[in-house]
Amino acid sequence: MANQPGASTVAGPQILAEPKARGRRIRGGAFPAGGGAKSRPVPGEPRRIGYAYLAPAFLVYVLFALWPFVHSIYLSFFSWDGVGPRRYVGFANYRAIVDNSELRDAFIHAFVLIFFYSVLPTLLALLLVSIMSRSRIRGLTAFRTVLFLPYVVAPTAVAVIWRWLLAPGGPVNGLLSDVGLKSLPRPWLGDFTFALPSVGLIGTWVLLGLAMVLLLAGVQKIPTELYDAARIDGAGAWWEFRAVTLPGLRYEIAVVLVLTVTAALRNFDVIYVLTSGGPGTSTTVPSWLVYNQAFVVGAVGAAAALGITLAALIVVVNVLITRIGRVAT
Amino acid sequence: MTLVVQSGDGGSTGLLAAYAKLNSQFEAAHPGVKIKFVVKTFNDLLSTLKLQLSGSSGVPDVTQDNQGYSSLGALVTDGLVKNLDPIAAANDWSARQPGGLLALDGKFSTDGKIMGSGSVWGISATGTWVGLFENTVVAKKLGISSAPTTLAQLEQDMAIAKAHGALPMMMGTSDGFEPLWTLYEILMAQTSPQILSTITDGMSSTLPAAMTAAAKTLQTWQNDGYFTTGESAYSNSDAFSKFVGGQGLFVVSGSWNVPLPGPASSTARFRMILFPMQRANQLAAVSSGDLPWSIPTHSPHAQLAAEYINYITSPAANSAWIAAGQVPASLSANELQDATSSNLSGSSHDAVTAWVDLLQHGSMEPYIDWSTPTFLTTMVQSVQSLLGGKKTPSAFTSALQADYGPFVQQRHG
Amino acid sequence: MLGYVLLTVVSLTALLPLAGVLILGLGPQTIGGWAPSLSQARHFSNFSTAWALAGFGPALRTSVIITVTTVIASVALSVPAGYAFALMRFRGRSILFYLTVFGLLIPIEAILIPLYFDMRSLNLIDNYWSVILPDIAFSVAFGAFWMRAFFLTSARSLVEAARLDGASSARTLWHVLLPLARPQLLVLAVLFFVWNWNDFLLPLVMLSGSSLQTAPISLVFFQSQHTTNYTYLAASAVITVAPVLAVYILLQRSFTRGVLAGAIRE
Repeated sequence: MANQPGASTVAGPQILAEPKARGRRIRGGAFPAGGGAKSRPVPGEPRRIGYAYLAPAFLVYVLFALWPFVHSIYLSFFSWDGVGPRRYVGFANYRAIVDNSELRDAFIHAFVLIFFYSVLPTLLALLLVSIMSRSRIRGLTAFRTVLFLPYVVAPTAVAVIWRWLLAPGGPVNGLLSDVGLKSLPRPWLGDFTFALPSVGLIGTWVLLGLAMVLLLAGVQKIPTELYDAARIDGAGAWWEFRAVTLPGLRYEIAVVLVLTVTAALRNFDVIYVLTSGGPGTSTTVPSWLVYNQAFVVGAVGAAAALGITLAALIVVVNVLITRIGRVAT
Repeated sequence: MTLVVQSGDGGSTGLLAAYAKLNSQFEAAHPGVKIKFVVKTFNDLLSTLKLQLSGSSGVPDVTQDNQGYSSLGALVTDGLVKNLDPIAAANDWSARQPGGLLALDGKFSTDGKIMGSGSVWGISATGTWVGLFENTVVAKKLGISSAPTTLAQLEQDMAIAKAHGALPMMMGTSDGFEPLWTLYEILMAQTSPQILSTITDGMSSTLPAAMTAAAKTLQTWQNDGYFTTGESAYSNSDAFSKFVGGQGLFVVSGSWNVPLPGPASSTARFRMILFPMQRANQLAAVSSGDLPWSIPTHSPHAQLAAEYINYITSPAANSAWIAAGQVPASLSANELQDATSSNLSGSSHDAVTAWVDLLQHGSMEPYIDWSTPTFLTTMVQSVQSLLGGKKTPSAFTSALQADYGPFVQQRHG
Repeated sequence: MLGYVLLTVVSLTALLPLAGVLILGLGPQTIGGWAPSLSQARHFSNFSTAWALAGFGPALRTSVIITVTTVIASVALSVPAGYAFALMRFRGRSILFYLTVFGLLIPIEAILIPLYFDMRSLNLIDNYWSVILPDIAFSVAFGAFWMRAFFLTSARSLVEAARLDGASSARTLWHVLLPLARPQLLVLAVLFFVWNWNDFLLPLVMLSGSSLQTAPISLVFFQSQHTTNYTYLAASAVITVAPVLAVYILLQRSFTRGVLAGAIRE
């Protein structure tokens, strides 16, 4: 789930939000330009003092984020139990991620969760928002406050809440049998087929409100004249959606996707609390494996490789999404 | 001064009550010392223990761990716990506990590679064993008058229960422990009790074929509907609570659960027996000491920690253990018989008398999940797959073999 | 009309589980009971029992110390960093900025391992700083980015006027720009508070010793000992999230602005 001091949870949109500086197109991929292109030289600004302002933050950042990242890459080329001597193994840890079915499965599960955490809420939100595209909603603030709640609640608490909801004698099963679906109630988190989708649906619950708020904000910005024009042309609802709503929201959709995909790829808390990767190995995910391999099993190099692979995956997906988001902008 | 004592017995009310008593007695005997007793569940203890002991600050003074290569063995290999030989010699621990028990629970070679011999790194304060609990009220209703003494009789009883629409065996598989214990007992009953020590000793790097047969039996019981529906939602302690709440004819669980919660009027209907073997006169159980106590290498108060461990495993502590219905590891069978015959009843009485029987006439066999550093995880995942219909019995054994074989081979060098 | 109906439906799906948990936590002690009952929701003592059993007193104190320190330090460091990136020229500014932005994408899982071992050799394990320092590192990456965006769009004329008046960069920052930046600072504070309070993995690894636990850690250890006592689970979950919810509700406009800023094109 989101909410780690992963500024990466809100990073993506901020990268996209990089002020476009008076209409000039941003060069480069996901990263905004340094901004030098847009400033007139500020008179009399001494050079060195910039470093002094930057130094405190950058020092902490380098020591406790950047350097460990480099160190992690280094460790991933070794086999190490955390205590004894290190043994250089080259790319073996990375090859294992491809060859070893357990490790591979964890990444496959991560992609399954991407569907539930990201695709599903986005599609649902898109559907709902396009229905609402022409209404002006008052009292949006109140709705927003409620819709953000699942996202603000700590993931560990979300897991505990859903432990109750999905319990054999819990509300979800109770509801299902009350409405007559007697064959459906089951131990969701202990079921080989349904454990992973259940974890997925927890993510959908957390992120749907977020997706709705973001897309709603975007849709409120689409000028009504465009819709009126489409109506005058005799366009149907589907055409309106394709020609007006969707292009108008392309940027916001990218933002939602970045946020939710990152959340899908980093959900340690729910797995640790609810399933520990089980039943069997049906709900293992990369972030849980990193912890388990490094600190329980004692395969530190392999865990480092897992972490780096996860980071690479996040970067690639982020870049892809922002590229797609940029295309129409 | 505060002594930080960490236990992994979270959930075992009887044991925790005994520790509370012992802790206050220890504090009384050591003025100025206050004990901070930290309780975690077994799983939480294990998943954070290595991390915890690796630091040089915030390390508990004394802690429990688990027997086997993945826990105590790994701690010994990594140099995270102290060698207890000096204390053992000074207090003559080998006279306190049966040699086999002491070795099983806490001996490892100094590199942690060989379990069961070498130096002492941990010692258990109580003894526990895994057996069968029976609800005599439910049994009576089904026309079953006596407890099963052979495996065949057990299966018969379960079939009768099933036929009458009662739940034969309360089962929880979410943590994997109860199905594994059941598997071990079936394995013993179908071959011989000694098969478990053979596996943990690693004489051969191939698991016996009987493993597949035992897995098949477990699976058959599942398919015949003997187990709880929705079993995967319950841990072994959840299942046991439900059993004590009245559901199910049998449950497989351990003596750490006694004394049972609730008034005597409701707990009197439960009895605990040794899991039936092939023949009626075979007495065997998966048993060992409870989680062994060790002193972390970075323990802030190692001397005091040593005194604590020595105290709770000494004869002076026995009355506290027995009063809480626990079996002290440091009593011989005769003393146990004397000390306990009069003031325990019900399943508490059963737990102790069976322990005595095991000591005198039976065999105490180890948990085979101790056999490799990752065997517990492998077995939990595989047995869940087996019962979930995802693995056949032979695929089950192959999965276990893939973990067991290489480790045993490199152990022998 | 339709818009309101849809929004209400989605809002209810968000709200009902949370409301249900609150009511369950206030209900009578049931093991395995599933339905929270509003009429019986008056057992406030459940909260004090759960509080005592789970050790929430020390845990909340630890969480407050860690989170508040992180928030204050991160905001304090982000402001000058963002200022430097936006309004000062120095060699290597672009590269340093790219490096900072990269930090927005790094997941904690990628650095946790060496971070742990390095902290251990520095004897910082089981110490507030083992959590606070990495938290600050990740927070300032975002904070510098955020403040830079603000400083870039705030009135350059103000800055130039101040400069022409002979004000030093420090005075410009402190007297001219910061007063305008209050909403942005509030956004940072809220976001940092929510992220860092809710964090589980980093504190779990760094504080694995027995003496310090954050609220989410206490929640997890407590619930694993009472997995079917839903009353306790509910009460402890509520206690854990209450501080964040309080901050969120008080400052929810700032929170919304922070998250939305990425979605609204200027």
